[in-house]
Amino acid sequence: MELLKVFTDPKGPRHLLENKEIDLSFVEDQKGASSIERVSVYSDAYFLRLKEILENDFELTRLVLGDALFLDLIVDYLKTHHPYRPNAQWVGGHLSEFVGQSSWAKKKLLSALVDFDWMLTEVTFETYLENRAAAKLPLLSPEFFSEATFVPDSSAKFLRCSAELEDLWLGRHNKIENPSSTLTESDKPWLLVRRGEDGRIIFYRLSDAERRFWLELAQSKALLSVCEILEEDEEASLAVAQLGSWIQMGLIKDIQHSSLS
Amino acid sequence: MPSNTNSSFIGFGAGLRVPHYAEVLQGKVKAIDWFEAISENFLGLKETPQGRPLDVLLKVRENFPIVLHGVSLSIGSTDELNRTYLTSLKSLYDKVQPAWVSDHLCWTGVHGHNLHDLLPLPYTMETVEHVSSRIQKVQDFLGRQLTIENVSSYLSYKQSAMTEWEFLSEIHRRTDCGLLLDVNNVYVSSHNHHFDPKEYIRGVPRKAITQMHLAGHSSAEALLIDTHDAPVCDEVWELYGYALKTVGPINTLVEWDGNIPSLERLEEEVSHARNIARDTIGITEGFYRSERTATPS
Repeated sequence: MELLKVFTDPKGPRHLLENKEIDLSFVEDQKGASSIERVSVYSDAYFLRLKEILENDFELTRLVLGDALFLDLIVDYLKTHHPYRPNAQWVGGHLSEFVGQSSWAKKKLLSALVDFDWMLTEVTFETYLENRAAAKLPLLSPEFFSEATFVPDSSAKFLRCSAELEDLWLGRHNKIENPSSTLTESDKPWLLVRRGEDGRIIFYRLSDAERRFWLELAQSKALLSVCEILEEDEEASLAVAQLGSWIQMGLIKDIQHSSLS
Repeated sequence: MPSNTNSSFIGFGAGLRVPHYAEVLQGKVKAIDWFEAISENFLGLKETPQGRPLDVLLKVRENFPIVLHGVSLSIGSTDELNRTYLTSLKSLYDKVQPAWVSDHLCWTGVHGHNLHDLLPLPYTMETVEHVSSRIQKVQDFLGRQLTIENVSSYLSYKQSAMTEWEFLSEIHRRTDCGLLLDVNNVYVSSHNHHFDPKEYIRGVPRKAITQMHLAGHSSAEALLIDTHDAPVCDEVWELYGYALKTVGPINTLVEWDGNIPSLERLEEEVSHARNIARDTIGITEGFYRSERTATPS
């Protein structure tokens, strides 16, 4: 039990040793690094590994809370919800329940946000990235939508393609004639274009519904009113499902929510 | 050259990782003979073999031998063996039909708390007896040999009464388990605990060795850390050549789990291992053709 405490207590082995809460006399003295330095390799790795998993799986939550508050949340969570399953990915599985039953419940709608993030994780893990857009995610409560606004990357621009990209390439290389005539007006894809951090031009193909979703978000409208503009529930669900990807890609720069900051 | 008759020679492999899935499925692999899959990644969130990752693994399996490599067996723990996990592993085994199954000689948690790390054991006869008993149970449950890997370590215990290689050898003697000799881990541990890595290589039972691992590591002041996020360093390549001369041709795998490179870069590392094997013990294409197991149907 001593090593378990040493490796997992968030106070860290140095603090525990200084306060005589642990005894490291069973660790062999060796030249090069002290016993504290040696056990710290394991205790640091334990926390950093779980932090990385939780940061990846709760991207929206971290964005809303900010890094410092998110760190407080996961340190609190891990004090009472240590990982126990063979798959480390499951470590965040009870975060929503924890938020709802702890002092974090005072942060209005935090539990709903955490739920949303976890849904994306389950969908991603179970159905793989390529199929994520096909998963039908339920809309969150209207209350959440009425208060959160998402801020897209303002430097991104839209282009309308006269033909499918593949046909444009084939037309350019004289392999087909009149590539622009292969599509009806409503089928022509929208490309969202921006310059990446390394200076490269990056294109994202968006459907007509996703483009309308994006443009409404860019006007700082709350998510519910944006979803009401999309005529079909399925379109709205798929667009909301995209939010997680857009955040990971850096297309959503900020989320503003007065009751969560 | 000395021969190892404990396993078939399937060549030089690499870890199967998500960034490379598309290229592997598109048939763009040029220099990798087989893949190692981390078992837990294919058990889904609820420890049942399912989902898209398993679909990908089964498609890869149509063209490549697969080895299942686990990180959660916790063979050295004092907790009971996790029957749910073992059942899932057996189910995964039945679906994938791997060339062999491996995990680590370590503990990963106790009292139900999984630390998701490979923690070292004290090298005592009591530990030998405890671990050997558990390995036997796992082998009986799975109905096949388990291969266990030496881990990198950053601390050792005052109560240890033998060397790590003596510990490994005694466990093999009692259980006839396979050994996965991680050459990088031998190097990292030899630096951290000041022993001769070549003595370690000479001290393990060569016929038990099923596979070798090669990987990169990092430096953290006085200690080396097994991070798997960099190319294999020159000293580890040199130790690998020594290991081949000592134990003979062994299936070799390059691990690269962090800062994952392009498939092309990964294949360069695998090719380097193959070239060392050719230059040190004369493994050639002819050896491959006669010794490789048939690709799975």
